[in-house]
Amino acid sequence: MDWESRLRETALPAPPEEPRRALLREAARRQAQRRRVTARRWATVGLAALLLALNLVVGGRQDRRLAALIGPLPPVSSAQLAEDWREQQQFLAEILGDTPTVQGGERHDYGPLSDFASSGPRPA
Amino acid sequence: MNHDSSAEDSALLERLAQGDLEALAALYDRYAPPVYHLLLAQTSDPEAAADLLQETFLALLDRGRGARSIRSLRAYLLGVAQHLASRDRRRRRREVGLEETDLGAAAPESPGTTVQVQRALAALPPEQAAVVVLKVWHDLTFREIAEALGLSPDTVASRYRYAAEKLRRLLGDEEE
Repeated sequence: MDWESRLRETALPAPPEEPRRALLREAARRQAQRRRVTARRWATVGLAALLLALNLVVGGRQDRRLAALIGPLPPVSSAQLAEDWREQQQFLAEILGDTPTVQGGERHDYGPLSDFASSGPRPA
Repeated sequence: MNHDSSAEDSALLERLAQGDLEALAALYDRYAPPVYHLLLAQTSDPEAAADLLQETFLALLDRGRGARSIRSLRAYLLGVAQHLASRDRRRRRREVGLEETDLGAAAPESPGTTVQVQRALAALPPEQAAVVVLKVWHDLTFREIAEALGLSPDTVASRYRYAAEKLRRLLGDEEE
């Protein structure tokens, strides 16, 4: 009898039973877990959709109420917009123009504040 | 694999993709023997082979709906098993510092297998033992083995030739 026939006549061991049972147990566990995850995902999507819809409804209603309170807005011309812009710039220049700034370590004269610092506290 | 069993596999995979665990059990009953024997040849350890057998079928389960696209289930399962066994061998070599031949020599005898044959198989390099098991016990062609293990048919034939030489020496050709 040659070696190949001897091999063929020798029975290889059958797979044990335990992996089959363990596989089916584990498969059932993973399936249940997957279902839970899917259900949670759908619940999140549903909640997000509900919140979005609610936001649209409430927001739309508020917009309409505000529009009714304000009434129709007058048309604004580009000349008017330019004038507003100029006024705004002028106002900013007025409040910020005299504010001292520190740049690159240059010495600045802070006026009355530096006078106070150089004089020091007066003796009692 | 004939046309009928391929059609049956497709039907079972379809059911598995829909979450039918009975289909998984049926697929296990059909393919566990060749997968287990391949793993046994690769690991020479019945316990490790049993663990990897379970892991192989869990890999199929994890494919989910993607399992429907598997063309040849036997090739797929044997390929996964081969991959898992290689990973297990590398891990065990790292952990224990054993050489591949040591793993074979340390293999316990599997019940039901003639001791001499078991020892001869364990003496082969795992990749040669895998080819012998699939060819001799499961009647796969070189082409089918090549497809399953991701090799060329020439490589498979060459591994079988080397294994045959060694087995002839170890087992001898007896007169009737």
